[in-house]
Amino acid sequence: MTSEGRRPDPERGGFVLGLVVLFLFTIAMAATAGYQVVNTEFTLAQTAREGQKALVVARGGLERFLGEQIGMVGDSVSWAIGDGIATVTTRKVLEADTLNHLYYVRSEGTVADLRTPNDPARRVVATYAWHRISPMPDTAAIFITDRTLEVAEAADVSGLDSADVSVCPGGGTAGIVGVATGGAAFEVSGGDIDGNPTDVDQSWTGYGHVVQDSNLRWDILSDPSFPVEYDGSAPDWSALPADSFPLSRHVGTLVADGGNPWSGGRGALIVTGRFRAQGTFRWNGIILAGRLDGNLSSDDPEILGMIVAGFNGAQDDETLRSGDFRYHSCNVYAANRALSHLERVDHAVFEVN
Amino acid sequence: MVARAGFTLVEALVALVLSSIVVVLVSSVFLVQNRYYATQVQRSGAHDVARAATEFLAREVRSAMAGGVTVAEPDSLVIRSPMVVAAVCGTSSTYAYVQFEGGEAALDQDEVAGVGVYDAAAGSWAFYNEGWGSGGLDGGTTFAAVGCATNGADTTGAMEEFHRIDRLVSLHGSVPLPGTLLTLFRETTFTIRPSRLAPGVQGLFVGSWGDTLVEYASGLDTTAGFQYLREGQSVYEDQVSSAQLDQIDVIRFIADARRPAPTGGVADIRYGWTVSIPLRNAR
Repeated sequence: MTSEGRRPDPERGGFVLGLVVLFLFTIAMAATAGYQVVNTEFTLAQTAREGQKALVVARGGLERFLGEQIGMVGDSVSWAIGDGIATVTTRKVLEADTLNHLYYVRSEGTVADLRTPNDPARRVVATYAWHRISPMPDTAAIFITDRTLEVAEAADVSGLDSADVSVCPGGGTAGIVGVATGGAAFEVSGGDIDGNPTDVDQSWTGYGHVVQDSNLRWDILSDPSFPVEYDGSAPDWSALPADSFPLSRHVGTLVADGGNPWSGGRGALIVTGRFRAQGTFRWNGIILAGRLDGNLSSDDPEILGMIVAGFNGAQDDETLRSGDFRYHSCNVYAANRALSHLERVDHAVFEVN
Repeated sequence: MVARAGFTLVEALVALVLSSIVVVLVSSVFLVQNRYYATQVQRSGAHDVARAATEFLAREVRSAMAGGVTVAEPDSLVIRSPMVVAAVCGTSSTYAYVQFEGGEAALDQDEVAGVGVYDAAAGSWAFYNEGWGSGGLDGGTTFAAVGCATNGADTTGAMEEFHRIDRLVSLHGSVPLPGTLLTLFRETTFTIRPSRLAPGVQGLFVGSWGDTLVEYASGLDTTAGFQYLREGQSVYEDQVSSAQLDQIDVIRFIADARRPAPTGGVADIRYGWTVSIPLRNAR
């Protein structure tokens, strides 16, 4: 055999190569089909997972809205929650009376998918909620959760209405209790408590009872991360309309003596810690405090509205020795609106899609 | 001399042996690949069965209201789930105007099994089964919208969300007060029994109130079933008596799936899947 005989002959065709190519093709087909199955499975699983995420986002948005909403009910709000966006919208469906409105609240959760940016996973949940426009009942000029309150010397606490119809249409009420407490309250050394139908109401059975019946969400209101209109500093009252009774908050202890930023004002004031009214402090509206401290006979504060205190569960025996603490139905009504919130109808959250 | 093209006998034999080895190797790879593929298909099918069954069931169960479970047995579950929840926003002596999202177009009235009326003070629903057909809601939303707007409803751009329900007096005995919540619900039966489509396995049969059950998913194992956790209990039960149905807090669906072994396989493909669904609206 010569070397010429071993050269490749373009006319010769080998069948082994063809066979291998055929099998490779078959394997490739099988692999492709397998990939399609796995990919379809993955896509279905991914879609289901993102649908679940969207549902969680929608539910989170609904809970957040119902938990944080205070004051007027807005039309729409959006939050980024987890991997998605919750958009909450409301629609008023009924005004049962002037103070209780029923809203339809829907939350749409969307979770974007990089592979299908124009078609994000989307789920909607909804419920109904009552907007309690004046949520806190007019209970007493001073309403504390427990312990003993002495009203002494120059202090004057009155549940009789210091507003008449000339101040506001709802003024001139019969009045409320002077001091309501889960502990005890009494007059000493010239102090005076008045009220209607009684000066002092000690029928409250404890902290939980008082907190529940005040109808407020103290845990939310006192949370520094919960936004309020004026937080940490007093509003510029000269820039606000005279009929504006905003929601303000002071985090920590507040000794209001007429000389600090909280020298006075109106609306609903939240004091997350201890509150002491002294000096020439003046307030028209509602004061909510973690704890109420007593004052000295040399002070001269005036609060026309209501004080509700003891929410921190640390109320001590206290003595008010000076100042006027008088119920004022018009101021309370106006300040109460700043505390209005949504109250979900129980057992009625449902999935729209 | 012309060179002769072709193979010698030895060359042919060597080529035959080599190609045989290659064929055997490639065939082996192909067969393994094929078996793996078949297994994956079966496994994927088992996943699909379990997932489809649980997703559908979970969605129905999640929204069930208090009193919405009417049968709770190991292989059978009947629930009332809300198709819409509506609020009464206007009334007359014989009918109520209601608002619900989506409007009439979003509601397949043929599926409505009845109406539920919520007693907010008691925190419970009164359910009335009633074949709804297509006459339960009137077609004229304008009157309903106007009636509700009179009571303060914001109907702007949403008149289709307001409807009139006529049957409440005959069903409930009176027209609910404004502010009352209603639900138009469907009543769905879930039953696990031997599949008609795939021999040797179980199927999940689903049916709306008054309709024949249809096989929704095939390929469940004999271990598939329902369990129930009642209020204050720590152990799931296989069934709950009718007197205790309103105590159910969580429904567990054991959606164990099984597929026959692929050719060459020795064991069935099994996929264990369990989901616990809290009835958030029940309590």
